[in-house]
Amino acid sequence: MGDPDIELLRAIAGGDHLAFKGLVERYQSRLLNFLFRYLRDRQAAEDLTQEVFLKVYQAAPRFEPRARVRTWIFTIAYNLAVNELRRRWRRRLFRLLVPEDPEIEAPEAGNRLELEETMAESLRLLPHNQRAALLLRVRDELSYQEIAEILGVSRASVESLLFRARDRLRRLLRNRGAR
Amino acid sequence: MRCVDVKERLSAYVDRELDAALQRSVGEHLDGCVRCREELAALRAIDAEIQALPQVGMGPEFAEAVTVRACKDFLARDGSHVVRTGPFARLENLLEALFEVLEASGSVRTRTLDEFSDFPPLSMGYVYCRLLGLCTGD
Ligand SMILES: [Zn+2]
Repeated sequence: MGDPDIELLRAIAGGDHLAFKGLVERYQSRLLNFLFRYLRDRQAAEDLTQEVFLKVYQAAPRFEPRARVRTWIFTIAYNLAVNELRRRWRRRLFRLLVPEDPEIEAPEAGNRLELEETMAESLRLLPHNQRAALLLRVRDELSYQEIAEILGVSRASVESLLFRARDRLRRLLRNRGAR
Repeated sequence: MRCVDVKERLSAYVDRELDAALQRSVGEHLDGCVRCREELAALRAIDAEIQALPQVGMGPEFAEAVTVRACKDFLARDGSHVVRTGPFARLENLLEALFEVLEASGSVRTRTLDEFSDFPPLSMGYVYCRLLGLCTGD
């Protein structure tokens, strides 16, 4: 299994800054877009993208090539994103007990086509793991095996998550003509 | 193959993730079944729409900035963390850390925890460290 990123990661582990920058350039857009569609918050997506790379840099010397580098990078991103959602959930719970400034739901600026808006909106209504699986499959074109590793579930679960996600989207979007 | 069996597998069929024999039988069914072909088209339309969602982009200086930051962090060995302020910051830190410990003990997802943080996630040392705002909790 030839992994084009392995050499890059070895160089990073050896302290090669240019190699690190190269890796960042290679993955920044994919990670940002995955995190943005998963969290639906531009600022958080940017912060976490940075966080992912910092972790990659720190952990590069300990990387074991059992998995592909890109699978590993997406795993870090996914885990950070899951933690972020949990943190928000807890914070929201906490704010109910100790009111502070109200949580600002990041509004999405600009005019969008209604079609886009409805799809983005419907994605948000999916359970988190279904949304992650679907984004990784359809936008990043990862294999079921890779998605399974990233989500920490079996390959069969990925198949089922994707089936349910698409089924749910179909049903959600079927109603949009009526709006 | 019956339509219901096909319908269940269409998602994996679209992804070409069925084993070869199944991929073939679904394909054969589709050749002779208009209804399932419509299902397939609807599924592909959904995928196309997801792919068409606009991309967001990083600023041009991002890669450079992260590289500098990574080197600095590496030299200083001080990870970034959320700095809370306000009268309830400590309480919030404590509660969050306790929540995390409770959650971690009830879940199987501990892979990255031991990989990336210096404190074992289930220890009170971890909670204490979070309370002081020393580690990030990832
Ligand atoms: Zn049929």
